[in-house]
Amino acid sequence: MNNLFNLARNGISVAQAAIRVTGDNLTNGMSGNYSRRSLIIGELGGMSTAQGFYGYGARASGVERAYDAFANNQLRDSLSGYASFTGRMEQLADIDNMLADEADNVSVSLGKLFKDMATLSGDPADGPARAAVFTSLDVLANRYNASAKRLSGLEKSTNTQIERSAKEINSYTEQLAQLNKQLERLQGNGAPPADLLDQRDALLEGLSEQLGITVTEDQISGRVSVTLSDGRPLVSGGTAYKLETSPSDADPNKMIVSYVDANGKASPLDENAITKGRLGGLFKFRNEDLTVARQDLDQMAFMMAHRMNEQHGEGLTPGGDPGGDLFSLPDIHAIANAKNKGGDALDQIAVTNFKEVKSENYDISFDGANWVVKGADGRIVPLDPAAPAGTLKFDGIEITLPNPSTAVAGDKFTLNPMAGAAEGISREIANAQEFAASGKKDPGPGNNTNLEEMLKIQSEALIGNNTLSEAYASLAGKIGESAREVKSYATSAEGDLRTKYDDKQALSGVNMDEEYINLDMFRQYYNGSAQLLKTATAMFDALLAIR
Amino acid sequence: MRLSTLYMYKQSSEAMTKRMSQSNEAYLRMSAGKTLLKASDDPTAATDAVKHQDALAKLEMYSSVRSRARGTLEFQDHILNGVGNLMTTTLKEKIVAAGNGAYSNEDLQALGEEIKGIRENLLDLANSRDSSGRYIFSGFNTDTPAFDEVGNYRGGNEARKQTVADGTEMQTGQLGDEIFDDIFMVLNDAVAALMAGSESAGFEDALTAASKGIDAGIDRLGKAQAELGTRMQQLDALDLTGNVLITDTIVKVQDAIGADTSMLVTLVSESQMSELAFNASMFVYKNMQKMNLFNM
Repeated sequence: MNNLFNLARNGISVAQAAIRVTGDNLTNGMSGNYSRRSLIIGELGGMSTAQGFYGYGARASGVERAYDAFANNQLRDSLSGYASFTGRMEQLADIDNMLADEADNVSVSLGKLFKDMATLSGDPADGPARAAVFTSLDVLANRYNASAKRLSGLEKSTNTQIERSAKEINSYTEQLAQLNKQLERLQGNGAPPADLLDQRDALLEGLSEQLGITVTEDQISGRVSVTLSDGRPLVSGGTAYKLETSPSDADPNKMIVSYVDANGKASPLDENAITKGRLGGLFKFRNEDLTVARQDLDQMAFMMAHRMNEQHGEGLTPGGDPGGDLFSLPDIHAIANAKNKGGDALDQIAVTNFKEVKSENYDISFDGANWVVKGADGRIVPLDPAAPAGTLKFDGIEITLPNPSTAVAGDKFTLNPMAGAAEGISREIANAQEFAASGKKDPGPGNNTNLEEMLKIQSEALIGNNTLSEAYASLAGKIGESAREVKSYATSAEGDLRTKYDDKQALSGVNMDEEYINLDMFRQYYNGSAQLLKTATAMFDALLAIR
Repeated sequence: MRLSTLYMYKQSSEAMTKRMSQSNEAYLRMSAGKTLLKASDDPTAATDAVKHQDALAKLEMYSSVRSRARGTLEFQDHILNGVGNLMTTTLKEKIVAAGNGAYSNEDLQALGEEIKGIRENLLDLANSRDSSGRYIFSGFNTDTPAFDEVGNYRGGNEARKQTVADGTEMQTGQLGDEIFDDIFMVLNDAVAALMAGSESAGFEDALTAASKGIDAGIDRLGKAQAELGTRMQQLDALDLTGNVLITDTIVKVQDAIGADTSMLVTLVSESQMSELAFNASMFVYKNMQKMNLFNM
């Protein structure tokens, strides 16, 4: 009889526990990070007698959390991949939009200038036609400025996003380290708490959205170690390693991310090695897409200004003076590395032959005795041996070194001779009468020979084999191609992410109908056990009724 | 396989959002009147669009240069016609009449006065100005009359040239001394001789020189007018091909940005399709909601 009561009691409490777990699933099932739980019901053992084996009933032997480390790993990996493409795409979309406007762009403004010049050529003394050319010069310069400013704005917003991403990474790793500590403390109290594990998985997912990571999990305690793709630890036990953002030594406009190791020493991340996560996408955008767009635009502005100035100088103004510069460009200066020990500034830089100038980031360093110039790809750039003492002459530019120099061995400078050309270009002539339409031979108010020469610049292959307008078309094509590529990568990464999320949800997700059936089933179970109790009581009462 | 309820709802709402943004994309393109909104929509087309737009701008630039050049040439032609009338009919007749010996000295003086007047007319024509007040036969010295009172040429030595089509340069100016040369000097001498009378020294010579000078002038004029005619014809021919090219290039630009009618037809059917797809996903959602044990 005692046994029957015990059976009923076990049954009722197991059924209660099962309904509780089901209720947990029903109430938490709408949270994305919740992993479905189920009660494991086992036998309580029993007693072997000569009449056979009699069980003691059922018991709850544990709550199982539906979890697959592999599926989670796969999901994180997909998240990192997807986030890198969306991170890059978000920034790239701005340039993409800007370049597709076929009605208002640098090429259109350029066409307008040439058209106004052609009109003026029909009557070089005509005041209104001169005024039109004068205005068009300004509109064109402004068009360059506006496009370049948009790119600078993008650089700033990318910097901000990189900082934000690093901040989020730090917050995630810090929380994970705290969680590891909690899990460690709770170790030994049986299975690790399911809610902490849910929280852990959510943090890991958040972290992998920002950065590609490798996760190693301790199966028993549930603690995780997180490492960067190069193997350096981000979270190890209760310790989180921080990422730090700071302006680059070589270029203060560029925000870089450094890894701070256990000794507190910060070393810059290799941006080419960080390919996954939002941070990877931002790096890629900044180092490839943005760089291409800026360099191309600067190159167009630089070559156009120099070539037009050159031709304008060949002509005479109505006042009989030789044509001055049509456009002005910002002064060229090298950026001194923040770590330089000497105080030199390389800001005396002149263009000796604009056709030879390259849109490239040079690295100029002082080795204690000599100055060494290297290209962006690391090649040594040969210096002109015929250059005057105290100057460095290469690729169409001449740098006058400071005298006396305070450079110390190891001092470095970064130089892009065309940097800022598009953002800083402006109309230089002060009024329409300074425009030199006339040639130097047989000058007169009706002389249009220099103007006709200037008109030919429209068809000149100034940038490689391209005219100015073709160079712009090629830039639009290049950016469009990258954006299209990233878009299609993002689409397939989204499909992959969906599959991986699907896989994880198939295992860990809650299906309301399933839970409803479970609820029904466990209610029956409860009713059955209650019925057992009723029967036992009835039997006991029957015995008591015997007098 | 277990379909988590959260996932099902999420899927369904994502599907609807996607359909919605699809029809939005189609509407955006329809209202913009073109399919190319971003360079990435079609990078090759984006490149082409810039190139064709530039080619179009150039073609239109030359077209406008030609139309101005035609105006200039027509004006010159008009002036030269007037010069031709004066030289061939009036002037030539008077000089011939003066030389036939039938006139008295008074008649010759009257004739001299007449020829003097004609010379002044000619000089006015040689010093013609365009609507902006520029002397048209002075070469680059458009602010200086081509000839002074005496008849010396004061203009420049180079005629204006302009590029009127890709790679085609055309002379749009005309130098006064190439047309009028020493005609004013010769006429001066003739007038002086007529005033002095038929017995004066060099009377015959002056008239002969004037006659020769006028003949040579008529020759030069004919040549200049023939050249003008050829240039105007060339402009017509260039306009003809230029206009065809402009039309072609406009079509190319529209093709590149997807602004042609066939594209719009595609867009309309696309938007209708996405509307249908949106309705379908709403239907799925409605039915999914019904399929739920809790509703039993």
